[in-house]
Amino acid sequence: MNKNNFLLQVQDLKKYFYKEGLFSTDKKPIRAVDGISFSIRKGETLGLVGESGCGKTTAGKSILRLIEPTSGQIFYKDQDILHLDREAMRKLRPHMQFIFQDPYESLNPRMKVEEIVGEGLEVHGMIQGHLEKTRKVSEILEKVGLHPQDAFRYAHEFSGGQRQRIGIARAISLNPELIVADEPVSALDVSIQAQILNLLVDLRDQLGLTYLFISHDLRIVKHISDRIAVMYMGKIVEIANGEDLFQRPLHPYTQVLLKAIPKLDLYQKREETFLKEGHRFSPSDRGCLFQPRCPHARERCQTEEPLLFDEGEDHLVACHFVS
Amino acid sequence: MKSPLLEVRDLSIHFFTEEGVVRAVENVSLEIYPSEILGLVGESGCGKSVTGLSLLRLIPIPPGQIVNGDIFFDGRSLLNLDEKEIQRVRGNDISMIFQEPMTSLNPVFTIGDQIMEAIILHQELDKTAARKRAIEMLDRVKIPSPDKMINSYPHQLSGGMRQRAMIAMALSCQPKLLIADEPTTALDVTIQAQVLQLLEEIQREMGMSVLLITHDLGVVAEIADRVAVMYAGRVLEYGPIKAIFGKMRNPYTRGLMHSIPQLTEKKTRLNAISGQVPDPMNLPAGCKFHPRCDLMIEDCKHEEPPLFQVNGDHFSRCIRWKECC
Repeated sequence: MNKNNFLLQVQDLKKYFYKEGLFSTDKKPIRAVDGISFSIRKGETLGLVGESGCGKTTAGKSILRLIEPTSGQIFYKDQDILHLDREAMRKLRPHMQFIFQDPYESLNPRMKVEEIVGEGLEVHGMIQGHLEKTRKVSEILEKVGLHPQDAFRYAHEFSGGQRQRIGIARAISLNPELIVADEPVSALDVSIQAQILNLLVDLRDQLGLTYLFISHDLRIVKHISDRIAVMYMGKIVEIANGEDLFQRPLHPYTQVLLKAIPKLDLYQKREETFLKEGHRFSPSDRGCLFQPRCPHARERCQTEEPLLFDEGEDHLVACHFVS
Repeated sequence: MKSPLLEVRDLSIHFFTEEGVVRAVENVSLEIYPSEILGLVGESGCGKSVTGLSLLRLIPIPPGQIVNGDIFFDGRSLLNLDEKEIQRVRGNDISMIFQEPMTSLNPVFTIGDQIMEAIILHQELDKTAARKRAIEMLDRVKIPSPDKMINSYPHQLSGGMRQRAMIAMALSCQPKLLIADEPTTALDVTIQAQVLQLLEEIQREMGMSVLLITHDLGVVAEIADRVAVMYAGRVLEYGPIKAIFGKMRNPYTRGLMHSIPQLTEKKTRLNAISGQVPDPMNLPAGCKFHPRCDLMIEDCKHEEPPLFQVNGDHFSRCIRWKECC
């Protein structure tokens, strides 16, 4: 199973949401994540990029079983984690941690930083006694660029960037191997974003972390990732080495996405984006999900769903007419 | 040079709160010329939105107060107008669009009703003529089948379509100045590109001026002619976009630029600005940026620098601007 030193392997992962309600007659599920597969090697960073509603956050949460996936397989090293019982999953949790987007909502305002960062250590019996907790927490705080004295303050006393440092401190407190970071810098100011990105890169190098980095921002994803997967409406439409993806985007959606990034160079001409807006794909339709908006759509795209295939050099794309 | 359409002169806006005085805007001077797009860039709390709101006299007073300066539009002081006169300026001469169209559109009226309301109020047209004009406007912002879409409610539209409807409403009375406060921040990147393109097109067609308020240097680079960079209530760098993007003469502007990952470069650590955005109630003495600045010298701690003229109409509030590039 684990030939390529994969830390995480995801196969055909699905998460469907069913509308609930007394009068709801709509039995068709919302396919938030609809059969995605990818693997991450140890020490590698995979960027998961897509626009709002594409299912990237749901995918991230499903992988750590913060929400239960509908179907699929997730292997952490050699363990199929979807078949682990509560106790086995609890034992595995320290190895895989989550960083949330909003550092304002993901930290308990009634807890001091020491409790937020030290809670996991206590729960998993990794420290004994208060003295060790204080010592260990201050060690972790220094790793994320906070002061040991910050342990005795409440989260709301900190700015957004400092709060995200607390969130990162909590995530690394249990010596994880895998971290799923869900838009970790999106809520922050530009100058603070850069600080937090640097911190994440430094921690990756120091602690040998593996990241699944979820973001809508292509610049940031490109900066931090080794490989990038592009999601559209619950599916991965392209996955490749980061440099390769930016030089040779194969899927029409990726091409539009890259063209739409605001250029910082005044002398680089803006390229027109042709993407049609507002077309929704209804679940009864077959074929390519991107077809209603695609500038290159042909008849085959309406009837047959394209599958991911390797275009060479581990560059996978799901399009019938790769140009 | 032409005379400016709008001129902000030494404007200071303070908020007197229970916790203390927030000096949101301090001695800001700006000019917006006819048919140009001025970008107003900065991070959260820098005073860019307060500056924008003040142009339409939308600052809540109290707690806010304009403690100094004046705003001239077409040669008239906006601060001296009475409520009735400023009402006529709003929508007619200056209109505004906001970041999140869902919260600025009324959910219980159709977008047609809301656009028509503005037209009827400001242009004294009857209902039929106003409806016709509203459909024209929707068409102009490239909303498909505008004669049908005019009857839809805001929640029935996608985020990009809602922002288009907002733009249609804002432009329905053909204002001379549009204030766009983070108009694309809530939108996906593909939709953002389209909305920016639309704004630029319409601006050219109608020859209006735009004050584009944003945190995103990329958005500014796309469509602005000139740019003012704000930090802690002050303008730190001001000038034509080509001059500033050619050579940034303020360490803050340069730091902002370096904070953004470049697509062409191989990844290294980003050259981040250290430290935190200052607390507006507790600003440092001297240059407001000095605690985070890598060019800081002793003088920066004590005296706030004036805006130095770099050349022509390019200015920087930094005593070491010559060394910054």
